[in-house]
Amino acid sequence: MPERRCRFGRFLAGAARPLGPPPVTDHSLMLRIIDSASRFAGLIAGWGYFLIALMLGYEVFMRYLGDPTIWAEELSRMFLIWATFGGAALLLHRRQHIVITLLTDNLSPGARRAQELFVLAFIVALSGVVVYFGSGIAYDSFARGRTTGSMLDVPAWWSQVSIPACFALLGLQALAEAVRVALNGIDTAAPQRIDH
Amino acid sequence: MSSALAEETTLRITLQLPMKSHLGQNVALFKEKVEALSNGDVSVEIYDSAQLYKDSEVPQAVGSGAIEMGVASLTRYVGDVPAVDLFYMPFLLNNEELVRKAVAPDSPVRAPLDEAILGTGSRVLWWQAYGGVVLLSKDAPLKTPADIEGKKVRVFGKTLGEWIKAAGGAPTLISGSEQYIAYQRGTVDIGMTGVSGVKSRRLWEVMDTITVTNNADIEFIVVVNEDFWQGLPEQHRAWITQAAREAEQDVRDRMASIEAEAYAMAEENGMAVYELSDAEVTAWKAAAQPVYDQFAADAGDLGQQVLDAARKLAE
Amino acid sequence: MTSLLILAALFALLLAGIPVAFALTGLGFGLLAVGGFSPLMVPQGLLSSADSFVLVAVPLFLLMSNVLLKGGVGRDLFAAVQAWVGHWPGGLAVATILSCGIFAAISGSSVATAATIGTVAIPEMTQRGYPRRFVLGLLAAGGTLGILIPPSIPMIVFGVITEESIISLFLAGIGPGLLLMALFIGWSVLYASFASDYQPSPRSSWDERRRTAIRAFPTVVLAALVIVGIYTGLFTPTEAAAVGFIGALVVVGVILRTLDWSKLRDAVAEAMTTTVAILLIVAGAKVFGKAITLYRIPQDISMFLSEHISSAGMFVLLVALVLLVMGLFLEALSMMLIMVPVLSGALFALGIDPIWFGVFFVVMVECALITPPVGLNLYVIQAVGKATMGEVSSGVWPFLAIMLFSVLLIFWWTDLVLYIPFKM
Ligand code: NA
Ligand code: NA
Repeated sequence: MPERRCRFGRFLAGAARPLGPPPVTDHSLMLRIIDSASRFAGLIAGWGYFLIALMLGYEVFMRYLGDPTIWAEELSRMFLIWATFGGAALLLHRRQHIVITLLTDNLSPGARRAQELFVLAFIVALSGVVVYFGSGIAYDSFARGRTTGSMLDVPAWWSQVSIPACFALLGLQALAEAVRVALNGIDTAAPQRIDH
Repeated sequence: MSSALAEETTLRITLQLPMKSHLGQNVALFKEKVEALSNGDVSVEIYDSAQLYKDSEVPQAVGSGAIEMGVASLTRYVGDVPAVDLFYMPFLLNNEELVRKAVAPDSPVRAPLDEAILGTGSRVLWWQAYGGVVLLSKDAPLKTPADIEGKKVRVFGKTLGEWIKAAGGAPTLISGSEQYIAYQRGTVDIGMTGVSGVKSRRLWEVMDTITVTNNADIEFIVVVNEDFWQGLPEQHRAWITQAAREAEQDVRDRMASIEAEAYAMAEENGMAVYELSDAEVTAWKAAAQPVYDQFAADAGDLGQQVLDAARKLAE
Repeated sequence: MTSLLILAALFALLLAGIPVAFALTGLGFGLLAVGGFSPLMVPQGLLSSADSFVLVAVPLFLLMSNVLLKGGVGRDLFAAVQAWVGHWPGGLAVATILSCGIFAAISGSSVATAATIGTVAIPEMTQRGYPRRFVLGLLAAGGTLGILIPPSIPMIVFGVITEESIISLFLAGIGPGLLLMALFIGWSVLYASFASDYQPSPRSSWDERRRTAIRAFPTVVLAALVIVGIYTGLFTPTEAAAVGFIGALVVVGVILRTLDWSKLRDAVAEAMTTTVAILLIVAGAKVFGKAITLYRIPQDISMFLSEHISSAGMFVLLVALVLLVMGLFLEALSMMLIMVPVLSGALFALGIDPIWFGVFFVVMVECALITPPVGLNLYVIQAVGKATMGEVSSGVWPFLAIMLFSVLLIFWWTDLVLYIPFKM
């Protein structure tokens, strides 16, 4: 485990044991800022899901008292959107996205490094595309003053802007990972598997 | 690009409902008409059952030009044009004659709404009738607001929810696909749907009474991206407009018989159909005033304009 | 031809090690760009997929099972079941299956079920001399009950794609879930009566039975509350997940007092990781799905199927074969996300009940989870049981055969699936 961790990182590090991110030897402030931002986003995402549970529990309770809320259903959808895309960067940092390692497990270290750089470049490019087109959508809704037109009737861009914002973070994190791989090589520990 | 290619137009249309629904059939009719009129120069591809976009996404998808055409319920535009909720104002347009007057292409109710929607980047090609909203219950009809006092009622939108709340019930958002089981298991006590939904979802298996409230009128609109439209050859626009008119006329004329058939099927399958008396409608209307107050606050000058126009139609 | 090219491109991206979620999104974008369609569909598709109240159930069910897991409920459950049935012939194996089944009723995930029960059952069973292969295979297969017995994350996803009722899907999974448990138990007892190299567990004292049962009782009540609540319409599946999570906090935080602050933080962080990984794939599949829809691939395949296949039996057989083969290589949930939209168009014409099809599909997904080389349950049992891939793989074959046999049974006797949701 690397020594340097922000306050939020300590909590999340527990979950990543025993296969955390590769020990880094770079001291670039920029990379650490990006890591921290991703960790913070992941922390918020986790407790965002937690908050959804409490809101919906409250909603059921109130419904049986005959006074259902108008906000629980919609806020929980908005939290789901933000949390889901917001967690993407942290999962990339920890290599916790679901990956098929059938072929890549058998590559030589040199080839693995090239492969990893290819994957990260792919993610950077994809993030660029999503940020470019996604920000147009959010800006359009913002400029028109479009609302969701639902029970709560909040501005539509509140959820739409999650896409460019979270993919910008993902793209930055992918760049940071690419810099690390280019400078330090790759983590040889087995990839983290996660369940579903 | 060669001129021969430039004369071909492909219209992709996204819709939420399946092809076998009467709105799907209506879009198929449009396709048939426009392809025949243009001898195939204008071709139509239909993407039904929300393969591409959910109903709620259509305003943004067509307005941004991500797809050429789409079908959405009119009230989906409430986020852009709050005045469209006029059609959900309780008991405002509660018979076929009034609805026909209100939705005529040049009516003082529809024309300003079409104009406002054009401002979002989508041109309204035609309106599709979907029918009135009814309430469903078990054992007894819902004659007055007292019959829903304290009960859980399925709703599918903000304004309908406000109405139920104003009338004393507890509105609960239930999606179309969970409707059947929500009635069967009693998640809600009272159902709300367009009457054709009773037939397509076989709701007579789980509810036994329809109260014909016609408290709201459900309309769908077919929209085309305005930039795309302006880029089309004059002749193509003429063909499309003509086919759209014919499709609109067809579904409007059929609506009464579609509804009558749905009621007949419901009765055949054991449902009681209860028509409200004038006195009962008055009682329901009286309880709905907060919804009108909210509309006045939300829908601005345009809202007031179309509300006045709609009330004038009723005189 | 285009379909094959697209499939090849997808496999190439996946095998190159690009995360499944981004491979699907990226290929979707590529197809839109090449076909001259609007790239705005990429952000629109991502947003649209996550803007779903039904999918809110995914993180909530994961939170519920993670909190219970951190509170040591897996161990308690296994101890209780073992105390009651452990001394039977093959009793430990029976206890393992029963524990998997009970844990499946509080977890929406196969991998979580396999890991939870595997952690306690594998050492216990190998100590008693059960052959390792049998133990590993039993746990890998038993874990897959997690997605057949409700709640079930793949069923939630299936319901979202096909617009079918999640409640009906959940209820429809109960019958086949119990059937599969019975078949697994039958096989274990049969196996044990022919194998002589294991020592039966001693009969537990009544005091032991009572003590362990009391500890496991609150969890069983919680599982029952969730499913009965859904069945009776007390709450929607998403609400049931929220209520279940709050109930789980009460069970392990207040009643059993085995959850502390740091365990809660871990549970929250792990639920987040799993949710994000799953839902990003759902989002990527939506973008990819829009692109292939515009290429008219699902429509063409549906039309081909309805023109060339006239009987439901042929269709199901064909789909089962395709899923079995694809399931060797594709991650299970991605397989569902890619295949269901393509196949569901043909169901109506063939008279196949979509709820039945959903359950059938989930059983095939279970098979995919335990067939090498790509199967998440294999990986998990490999890690938990400190075994090689070869050991686990060779142990799962009998169970895979049993699962395929259960597909035959639910095909011939559809009421196994449809009785509980529609006729009860
Ligand atoms: Na389960
Ligand atoms: Na597999």
